[in-house]
Formats: sequence, C-alpha cells, structure tokens
Amino acid sequence: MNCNQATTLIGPYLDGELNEAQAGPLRRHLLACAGCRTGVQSHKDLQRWFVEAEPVVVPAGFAARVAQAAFAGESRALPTVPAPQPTPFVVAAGRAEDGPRAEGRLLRFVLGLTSVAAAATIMVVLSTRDNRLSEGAGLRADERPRLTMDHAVEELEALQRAEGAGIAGR
Amino acid sequence: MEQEAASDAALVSETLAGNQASFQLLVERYETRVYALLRHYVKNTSELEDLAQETFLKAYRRLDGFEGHSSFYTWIYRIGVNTALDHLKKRGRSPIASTDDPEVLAEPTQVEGRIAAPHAALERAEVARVAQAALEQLPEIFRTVLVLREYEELAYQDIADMLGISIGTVESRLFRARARFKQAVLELHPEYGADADED
Repeated sequence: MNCNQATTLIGPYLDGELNEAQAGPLRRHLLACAGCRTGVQSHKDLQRWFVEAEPVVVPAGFAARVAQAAFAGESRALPTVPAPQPTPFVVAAGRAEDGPRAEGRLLRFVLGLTSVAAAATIMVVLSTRDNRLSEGAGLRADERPRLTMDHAVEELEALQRAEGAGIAGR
Repeated sequence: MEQEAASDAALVSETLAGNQASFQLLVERYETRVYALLRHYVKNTSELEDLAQETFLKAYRRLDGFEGHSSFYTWIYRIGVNTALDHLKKRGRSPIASTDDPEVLAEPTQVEGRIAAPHAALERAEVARVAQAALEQLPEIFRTVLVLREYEELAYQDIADMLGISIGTVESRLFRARARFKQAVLELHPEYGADADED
C-alpha cells in the first residue's frame, strides 16, 4: 500500500467502515509511515470540530400539533378510501361556527340542483320517446316521422264517431 | 434496536389504520433527531419548525410507501434532507448544477495545511459556530454527507441508502467534503491552522 491509497482509507478506517482485509494493510502501512500517521491525527483533529452547539429544543406540543395537522388534512397519498374534503365555505370563511350552517346551505343547493336535473332528464326522455327509430328504419334528416294520409283519415274518422256518439247520447 | 424497529412498524400500521395518537408517538420519537438534522440547514427558529413540520407531514402522506425494509429513522432522515434541500433551492441556493458538480470538476483533494483540534479553552458554542460557518461554505452534497456522518453518525450504508448513491460515492464525497471543510475553516479562521498553533 502506498501513501495515496492510505490517505483515502484513513477516513473510512476511523469511521469503522473497513473490513479486516482492508484495515490490515493500512495498519501495516501506518506502522511504517510517519507521514500517514500524522494524517490520522489530522483526521481526528478535524472530527473534534463537529460538535453540536447546544441541545436540541423542540417546542412543547410540536408532535401533537403535527399529528393533528396530518389527520385534519387527511392528505396521505393513495388513501384506501377517498378522504372527505373540508367544506369550502369553512375554509373560505375561516370560522368554525359557520361550518354546520354552511354545510346545510350546500346540501340544500345540491339537492335542488339534483331535482332540476332529474326533471330535465324526464322531460327529455318523454319528448324523445316516440322518436326512437326501429333498427330497420332508415335515417332521415327530419327525424320526427310525418303523419301519413291514411293515419290522418283514421284519426278524423275516430273523432267523428266520438262526436256522433255524443250527439246521439244527448 | 430490533424491538424499537418492530415498535416503529407497529406505530406505522396503527397510523395507517387511522390512529392519530400512534402518529403523534412516532413524531415524538424522532422530532429531536429531525430537528438536529434540519438545524444544519436553517438557523431561524420558525423556519426550522416549519421544515420539521413539513418533514413529518410528508412522511404521513407517504406512510403507505414505507415498507419497513429500512429503519424508520433513515426513512424520515431522507425526507428531512430532501425537504431541507428543496427549501434551500427555493431560497435560491441550488444544491448542485451539472456544470459545477464538484465531483465532476477536477479539484484538489489535498488541502495545504492542517487545522488543529479546537483549543480546550474555546467555548463549545464557538467551536460549533465555526464549524457551522464552514459547512455553509460547502456545496450541499458535501454538507449533507458531513452532517449525516459527523453529527448524526450514520453508517456509510445508511447514508448511501438515504441519498440513493453507492457506498463508493459516499466515501468519495466524504473525502472531498472533509478536505473542503478544512479549507473553509482555514480561510475563515487562519488562526485555527495547525501551523499557526505551533508558532
């Protein structure tokens, strides 16, 4: 082992990171090389600068606040069940007492919107029910089928019969 | 140690099951170490608290991804280091750019001169202040390996796992980081040079 190799191994050696196969040759080199022994001492001197100024002081209640914030946010990635989002009104207003009232307004609004949507859907279905084409029907630009002459005559005759029956019944 | 790891795993499972108290216990267990790590990156007290909180909240959000292959503290340290580096980046101090990667640039690995061990009369707080000032001169990749090794006393393998690099790279970075640290101390405080001490 030469001095350059030894120099790069002194740090890992003092850090306890060398196995015996690496440490053995280094120790033999150090016994024979005063310059590299100085390198070891220099490394130890350097390490003595790494001291903490003072004990770490964590603010009281830090863990409780963090845990509360974590669970209030329910923002863990890939939740098994979608987490409920905070009500926008509560966040916007920033006042806890507005929460239930705001939720009530939101619920009424959503229910009303749902009712309107349902009514609109029913109307659309009813208005288009008679317009559905059979599989064999050809496509037409005017999708609503026109009354044929025969159909019109049949309806007129039916009305006349009904009127006649009404007159006879008086 | 094994019992502690099992206990961490249990607290993680309970947290995932919705137990807030278990997560609070996890935070209590590691808050001091996370604070100690982060204060090497920021000085301001409120900034430090924000970073620590962000670290634990990120951990909470990613708890599903903690598989227990590594210990919880190396996992939380990794999140802490990344949070700190992101924070510095936002403040305009880029951790590293490809064009000025100190590992790519040919640089002297040997520094002329030695620094002496801190004098016995020097206050502990002053020693720490000098070291911190020197650390702040280093590129982030060097600062991080020095902090993890010298202050947190992590094994090379843990540092490698935490930073996603090989053990060889950890050794190389530490070697260069120590040389740069020594250089920084000598530039900031020539009076702490070993030669100056001998004079």
